[in-house]
Amino acid sequence: MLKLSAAAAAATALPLTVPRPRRHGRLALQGPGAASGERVAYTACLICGQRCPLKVYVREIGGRQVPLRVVHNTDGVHDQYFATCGRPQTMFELQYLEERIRRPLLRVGKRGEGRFREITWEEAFNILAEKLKKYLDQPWRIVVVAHQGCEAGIVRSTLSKALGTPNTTHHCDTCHTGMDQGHRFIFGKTKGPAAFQPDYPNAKMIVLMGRNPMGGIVASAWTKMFSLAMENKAKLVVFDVRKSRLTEHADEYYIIPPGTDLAVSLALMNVILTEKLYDADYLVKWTNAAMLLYTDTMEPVELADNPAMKGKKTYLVYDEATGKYVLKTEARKPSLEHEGTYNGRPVKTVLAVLRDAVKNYTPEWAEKITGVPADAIRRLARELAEAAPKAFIDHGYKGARYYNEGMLKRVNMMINILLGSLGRPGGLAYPAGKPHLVNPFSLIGLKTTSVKGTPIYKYWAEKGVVNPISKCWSMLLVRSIIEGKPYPIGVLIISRENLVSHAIGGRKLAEALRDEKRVDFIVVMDTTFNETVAYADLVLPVPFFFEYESPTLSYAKKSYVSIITDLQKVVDPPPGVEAKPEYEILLEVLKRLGKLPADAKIDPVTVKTEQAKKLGLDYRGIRRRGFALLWTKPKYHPWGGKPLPTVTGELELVNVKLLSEYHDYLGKESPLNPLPVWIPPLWMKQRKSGLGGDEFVPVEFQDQLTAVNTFMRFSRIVRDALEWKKVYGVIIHPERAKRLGLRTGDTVRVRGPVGEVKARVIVSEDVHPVVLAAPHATAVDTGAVPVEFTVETKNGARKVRLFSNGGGYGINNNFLANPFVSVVPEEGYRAAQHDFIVKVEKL
Amino acid sequence: MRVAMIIDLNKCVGCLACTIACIRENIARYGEEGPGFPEGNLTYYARTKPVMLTQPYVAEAVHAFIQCMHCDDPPCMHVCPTGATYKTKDGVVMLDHSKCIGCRACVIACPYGARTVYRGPAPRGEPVSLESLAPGYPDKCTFCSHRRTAEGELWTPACVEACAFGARLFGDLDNPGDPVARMVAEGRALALYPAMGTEPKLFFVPPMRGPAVPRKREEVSGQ
Repeated sequence: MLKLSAAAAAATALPLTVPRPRRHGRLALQGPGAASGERVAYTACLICGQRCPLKVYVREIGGRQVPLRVVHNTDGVHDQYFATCGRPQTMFELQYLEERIRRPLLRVGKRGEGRFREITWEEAFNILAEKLKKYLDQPWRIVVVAHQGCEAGIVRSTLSKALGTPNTTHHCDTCHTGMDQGHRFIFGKTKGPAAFQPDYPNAKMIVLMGRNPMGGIVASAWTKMFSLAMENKAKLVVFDVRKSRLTEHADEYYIIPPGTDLAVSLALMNVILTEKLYDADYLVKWTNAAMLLYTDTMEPVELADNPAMKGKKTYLVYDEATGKYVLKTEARKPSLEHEGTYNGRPVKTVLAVLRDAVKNYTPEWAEKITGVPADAIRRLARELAEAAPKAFIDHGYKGARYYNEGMLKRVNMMINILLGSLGRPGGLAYPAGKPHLVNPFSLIGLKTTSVKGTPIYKYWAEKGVVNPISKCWSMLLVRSIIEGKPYPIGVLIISRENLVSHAIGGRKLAEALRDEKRVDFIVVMDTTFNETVAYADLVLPVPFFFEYESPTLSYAKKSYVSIITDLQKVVDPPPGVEAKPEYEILLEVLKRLGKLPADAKIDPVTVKTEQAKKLGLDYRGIRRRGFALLWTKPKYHPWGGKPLPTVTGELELVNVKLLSEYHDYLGKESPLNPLPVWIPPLWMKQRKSGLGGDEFVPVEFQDQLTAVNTFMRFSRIVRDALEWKKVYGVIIHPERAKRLGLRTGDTVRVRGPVGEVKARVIVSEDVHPVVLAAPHATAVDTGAVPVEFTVETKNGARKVRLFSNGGGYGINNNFLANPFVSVVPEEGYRAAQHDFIVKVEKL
Repeated sequence: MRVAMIIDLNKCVGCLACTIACIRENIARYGEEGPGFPEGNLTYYARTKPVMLTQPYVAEAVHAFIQCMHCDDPPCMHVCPTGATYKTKDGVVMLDHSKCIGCRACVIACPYGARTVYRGPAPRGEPVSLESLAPGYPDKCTFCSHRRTAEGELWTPACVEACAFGARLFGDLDNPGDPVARMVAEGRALALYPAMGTEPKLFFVPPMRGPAVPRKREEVSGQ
C-alpha cells in the first residue's frame, strides 16, 4: 500500500530537471588516514585564541589546496587534554570571506567614511615608517593594541622595546579583568582564568555561575574535561540568565536576573559559615582564617616575621589547646571562631569576621533578589560541603559583564577555600606551568630604546582610577581617545584587535576616532574588514593563522599540562590576497627606522629551533608532531606550590594589605570593600522600582561558533548555524514580548545610552524576562560605523559590505553602553558590558 | 559486518564540529573561487544536524542530532518505487542515483525527517566525492561510505573524525568486541523511538543526571 502511494506521488512529483545519472567529474574515492594526494599539516587554532593543537589534512580539489579535514591533534596517552571545537572546521570558508582584506589600503576621503585605495607593500612600509619617525622623540604617543594571532605579544613587546613606547595593551579589561581583580584580595596578586584548572573529571559536584564550559570562549581542553565530568555523572548546578545546552546537562539550573549571582554566592557563604560546614583543618593550615583582628579598628592584632617562611608574616591566634594568645607558628590548635578580648580590646578571628559580614545574607534574602528558593540555596550549600573537596564553584572566565563581578569571583573563590576544594583533586587545581619563549626579534640584533613617558593607564591612575593593570587598559585607551587626554595619540597601531567592536565606546568613540587631532594616524592589521578598519588610515592585510609559518612557538593557553604548539603553514592565502604576517611587517618597518640591520631577516624554523633548545626540547620532534608536552599533571596544592604574594604567604580570606589600604570602604557597597558585601548591579541601582515595559538588560553570549575574533560572524556556516539554532537575533521572553506586541521575526530598534542597533526578535522562554540576549558582536550601529567600504583597485572600485553572507541583526553591547558609566573605576576601569538598560521599540 | 553509530549526548558539547565537517565533506564544493554552497540554510542540508527532540520521542526535551538512522528495516527503502534506495551488505542505507526518479516518497516515509532534497542550482566547484549532495535528489547521511577502503573493514565518517570529545563512535554491531556493539548490547546506547520497529543503527547515549537524580532509560527511548 505504501509503495503504491509512493508511486502515485512519483507520477506527479517527477523532477524533470533532475540530471541522471549524476556526474561529479573526475573524482577518486578516498579512505581513512591521509588519502592519496593528501598531505598533513600541523597548526593550532587561534580563532578564540586558545591555540588548541590541530592536524589538518589538505587535498587539492577544484584546482585549490583545501584544508579538507580538521582533526584535533593529540597524544595517545594524554588525549583528555587535547580537543578542538567546531570553529576551526570553518577554515576552508574563512579563507574566502568576501570581507577579506586583499592588499594594503590607504584611506581616501575623510576618516571613517570607509573609502580606501590599494597601495603596494613597499608604499605601505614607507608610509608607516615615516609616520612613526615623526613620533620617535615622543614615543609615548605611539600606542599599540594587539591581542589575537601568534605574534600579538611579539608585536607589543617588540614595538615597545624598539620605539620606547610605554603604551601597549590589549582587551582583557573587556574580558576577564573583574576576575583578576577579585582574586587579588585572596592571592595577593591578580589571577585570571588561566590561573586555575577546574578538575572536572574528578569532581562530584560543580556549580557554574556566569560560565558555560560547553559554549563561550572555552578552551577545548576545558570543555573536554567538562564532558568527562558529565560522563562521570558529576552533579551539575547552573545559574544563568538563559537556558542553553549547558542547562540541559544540569541536574539543577536556575534562570536568574543578570548580575545577581553574587546574592546566591553570599547566601551560600552564609550557610557554610553559620552551619560550620567549612573544612577547618584546611583553613588553619593554608589560610589566615584564624588570624585575630581588633574588631574596633579591623586591624590585625599582631604580625611578626614568620621563621618558617622568609619574608612572610605570621600572626596572633587563640590557641584552643592552651587557651592562650600566641603566634600561629607556636599554636597547637588555632581557633577559627574565637571572639574575646586582648590588651583590653575586642578581638575576633578572620573567619568570625567573615561570618558576621555575611550574616544578613540569608538564603531568604537571596531568594528575594534572585528568585532561587531559599531551601534550594541551603541544600546546595550542604551538598557542596558534603561533596567537598571534590566540589567547587567554577572560577569562570569572563569577568567584565557586571559592576559586581569582581566581588562575585572573590566570594566564589572564598567559598572554594572554605570548602577546602582549592588545590585538591576534584576541586579547583592549578595548571602545571607556562613556558617562556624567546622573542624572535631579540635573536636578530634589534636595537632597543628605553621606555619613555607616562603611560596612559598611569595618567588615569593619578586621576582616581584604582588598580589599573599595566598590560590591560583598552577601556582607558578609549577614554583617552574620546577625551584627548593626557595627550593626543600620534600613531595608533591596532593588530588583530577589533577595538571599536570590543570596547565600550559606541558613537562617542566613533566620533573621536574621526578626529585627526585626537589620533593623528591609525594603522590596522587584520584579516577582514571590520568596524575598526573603518577608521584606519592605513590597512595592512595579515594572513589567517593557518596561512603562514608562525615565527614563534606557542603554547595551548588554557592547557593544564602545558602543551607547546607549532603553527605551521597549512595552505597559502587565496590568489589575490597579498597578506603578510605581522613579523614581516615589523621587520620591514624597523629596518626603515634603523632599528634593525638592513639585511636582518627572521627564519621561523630557525627561531623555533632556538626557542625549543632553550626549553630543552628538540624542535625536529615538535615539527613532526605539531606539539610537545612539557608537563603532564596539574598541580594539586592549595597555594599552587609555593607561598603566595600576600603578607602572610597564605590564602588570605581577609587580605591584610588591602584591609589597611581600603579600610575606608568597610561597610560600603564597593568592589574595594575588604569584606564580602552585596553590590547590586548597575542596572538594578538605576531602576530600583523595576524595569519599564520596554526596558531590558542586554546580554551578549558567545555561541559555540562565535569568537572574540569577529571574522567568525561573517561566515555563512556560522550564520546559518545560529539561524538554525534559533539564536540569531535578540531573544526576548514571551511575557515581555506579548506586552510589547512583538513576535518572532519582528524588527526592533534597541536603543542604549549612547547608540542603537536594529535587531530581529526571537521570542523564547529560554531567557529571564529581564534579559534581551543575543550572540556576541552580531550587529553594528550603522548610525556610528559604516558597514560598506569602497576600495579603489587597478580594476575599478570594489565594494565590501560587512555581513555579506547575511546576518547583522543581533546585538553588540559595546555600541550601546556608555563608556563613562558601564565601567568599574575601582577595578582599573574595566568594562561592565552588560550592566545597563536598553529600550526596545518595534519598527 | 553491520555498521552503526553512537552519539553520546553526555560527551557532546554542541560545538557542531560534526555538522560543519559534514558540510565540508558532503555538501560544499570546491573551485577557483573558494567553496561553493547550496542556497538556503547550510545546516539544514548537513547530513547530521542539531535538533531539539521533544515528546513523543523523549520525555524531556533534549538536544540531539538528526541524520539517517540507517534502519535495518528502512521505511524509505520500502516505499521506493524503483529500488533506488537500498541497503549495502554492511547495512548502510544508500541511494542509487541512476534509479532515482525524484518522487520524494523516501523523504515522506522517513519517520525521523532525515532526508532532504535540494532543488536549487548546483553549487560552484567540484564535490569531494561521488556521494556528495546532488541537486534534485533526496540526500541523506551515507556514513561517509565513500571513505570505505575495503569490504569488511571499518572506516571513519567525517563527523566521527571531527569530534574531539569522543561523543561519536562508529563500529560494527556484529563484532561483540566492538565498543559500539557492547554499548548497544548493554543498553547504554538507545535507539530513537524503537517502538516504530524500524531498528535504527544510530544510537544515542541519553543525558545522565548526577547520582541525586538518575535518569531513567525509558525517558529517552519513548517506551
